[in-house]
Amino acid sequence: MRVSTWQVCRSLAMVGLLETVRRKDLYVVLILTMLMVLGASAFRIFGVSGLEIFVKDVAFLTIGVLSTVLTVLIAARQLPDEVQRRTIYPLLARPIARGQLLFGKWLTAFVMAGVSFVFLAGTAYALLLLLGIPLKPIFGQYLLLKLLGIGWLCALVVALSVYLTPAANITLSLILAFGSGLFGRLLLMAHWERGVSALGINWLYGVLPHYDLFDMSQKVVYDWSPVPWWVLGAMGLYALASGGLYLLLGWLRLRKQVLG
Amino acid sequence: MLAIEVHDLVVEYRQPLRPPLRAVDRLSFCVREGEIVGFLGVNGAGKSSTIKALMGFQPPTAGEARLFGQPATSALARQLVGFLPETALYSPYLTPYETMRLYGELQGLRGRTLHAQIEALLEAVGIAPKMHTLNRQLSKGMLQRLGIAQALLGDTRLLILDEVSSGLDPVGRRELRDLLKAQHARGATIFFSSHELGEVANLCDRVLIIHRGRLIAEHTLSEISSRFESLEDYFICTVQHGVDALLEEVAA
Amino acid sequence: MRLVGLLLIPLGLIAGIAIRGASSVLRERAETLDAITLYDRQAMVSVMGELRSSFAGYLWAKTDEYTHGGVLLRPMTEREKRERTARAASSADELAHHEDETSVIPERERDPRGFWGEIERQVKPFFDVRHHFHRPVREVLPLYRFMTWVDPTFVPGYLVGAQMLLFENKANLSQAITFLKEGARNNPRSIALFTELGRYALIYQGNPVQAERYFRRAIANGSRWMPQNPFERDGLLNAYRWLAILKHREGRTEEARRWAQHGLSRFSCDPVLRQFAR
Repeated sequence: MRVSTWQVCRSLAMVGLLETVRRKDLYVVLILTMLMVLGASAFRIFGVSGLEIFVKDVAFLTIGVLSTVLTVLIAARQLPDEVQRRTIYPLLARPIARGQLLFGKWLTAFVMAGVSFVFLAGTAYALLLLLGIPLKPIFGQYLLLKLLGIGWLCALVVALSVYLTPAANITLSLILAFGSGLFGRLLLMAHWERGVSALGINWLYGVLPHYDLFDMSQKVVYDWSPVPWWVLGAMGLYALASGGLYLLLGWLRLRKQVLG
Repeated sequence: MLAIEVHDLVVEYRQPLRPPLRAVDRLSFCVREGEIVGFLGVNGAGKSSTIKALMGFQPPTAGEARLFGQPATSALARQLVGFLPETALYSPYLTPYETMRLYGELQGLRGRTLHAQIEALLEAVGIAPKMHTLNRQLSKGMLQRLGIAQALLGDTRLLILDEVSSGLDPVGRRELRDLLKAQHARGATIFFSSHELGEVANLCDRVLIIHRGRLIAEHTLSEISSRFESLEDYFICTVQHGVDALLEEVAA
Repeated sequence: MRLVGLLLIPLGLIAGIAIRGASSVLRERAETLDAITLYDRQAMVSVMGELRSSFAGYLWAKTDEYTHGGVLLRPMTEREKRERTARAASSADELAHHEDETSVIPERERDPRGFWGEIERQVKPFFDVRHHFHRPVREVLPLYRFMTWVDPTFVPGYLVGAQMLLFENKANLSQAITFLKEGARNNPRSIALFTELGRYALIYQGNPVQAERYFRRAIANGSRWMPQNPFERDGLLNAYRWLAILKHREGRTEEARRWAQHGLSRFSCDPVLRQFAR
């Protein structure tokens, strides 16, 4: 009897969570976040008051950068670590398909990165509250959208890990994540300045990764009102569709791949 | 029923700018249910590549491999199989208990059944006192014992073991031998590779010798003992003769 | 990880000592405004000075973003200016100047991305840039205080910060002047700061005598060199202009003409000085 995909994913994800807690990398990140937020707020001691927006800006910049880097690092090593340690053999010796393993590793990465992000965001939120800087309800939407983005990014990176070495994967993934906003701008400029057709722009835009669209931090910093819920629904569908496509591409390669 | 069937198996590794390296060359053999078969060969003979193809880690370039009638690459084929890799470093941040639980859940076990099996197996391989110690604090020998334990999880009817005695002290080897005999008594089939010919002689019904990816000899222990002083003599002579025979084939 | 953490402690100590050591040298930089020589001479000043001025520069760039509640603006391209295809930003209040600027995220009518553009306009700060209002000045004021605290030689911070104080409330005049004077103390050879102090003295305090002193000081500071920094350059030009205007208002046309001619020897094309030089 083959083991269900849910069972495979759940088992792998639970182990991933245990590792996250025991590796203690998360604690280092938490300390860094606290230092940066407290550091930003410390200028009030030197007579520079009213820097609430600046402190929020620093806090969300820190969360954004650290959570993205963490997500990429966590997801990029899921499969390669198993191959390097040769623990891929006892895993695949079980009656599970390679597709189940890939999906399970994605879920593991998502749980590890998602928990790390929630920790970071929660710490920053608590610190800001302590400093007398409350956040508006849009913060809840920010969390949800960011988690969708993390899930999507995990799918991209896990899929790339089947094709690339870990170092190449991490480099490319970080470029795609941090540069996604810039790619979009360049396409728009190409359309306005060079006359590239709108259809061409839309096709290219659809193909490019859009990690920047999962980030609503600037709206939180400047206390904008919450966005309509259809926006989150649309981004959820996008994450599901393109993330699913990335995992499918990863599976197509993994099923025939020589492991170890 | 045949536990293992291999027909004209070819395994090649692609090399950049060079012709592919053929690790297994038209290999054919069978293992019946209930047998203990030793799979021998010098370093680089193709043992591990054969075992990887049997376990589905390496899709064959040509030919086929089956486990209990199922294609080796299918997940169903591995339901009844326990596998011990040559070297395995289990997750350093898990304990033996957690490692076994992971593999047991992936085997389809859960709850009290799984818990009972884990405790019994860790006891049987002699690392029960360390079952809640992190893997990174265990010695190589203990990790090898953990590997044996995880290979025995579930309703295992076929054990495939690669370099089974590696890292074990003499006491551990004796315990392993007893464990494997107990499994065999239960009706399990055992297919293993090892350089410890003494272990092979103590356990096996039959040996297969592979050289340069080809099967060059296949004899029962009784046939071997009637013609050779020891298994070691048989092995060296066969490999040498096998080399001579290959050279003649190439010349022809 | 533990090793990295342990290494951070001595590195932090070294950095702290270095900052203390560099501080006196940085003050010297403030005196001379001749940063390049110092940067060439002392590597530590080069690193520390650049770090502080880079951070102040970063905060300077942030002020525009803060003022617009996170909405990013960019200069229009030549084509956009020529064809008037981009929606031009214009201020409904008089807080900021937006000549030839538009929003980074395009408006729906101009956006070829369709649905993707809608999503971006929802998740990022965006508004119609025509006749837009700005965030309360008090939200951005601390940034000017911060950037001049980080880098006391950041002259634009004092200039614009003082302006913002007045925008926020005319009653902040004394605070604005105090801020400018602090800048002048930290940058005794600045031209723009003394020109601005003179302007405040003339227009807001109605003190032409004090104003003249400041304009003369500004011109004296700029007597030996032509500043490349646009703020300082404009400050020098404005010092001549204001002095010419001041003298003309006092009825001393000859003195006004002399100052205008002196100014024209530095800024030969200025139409205002030409008026007074006739």
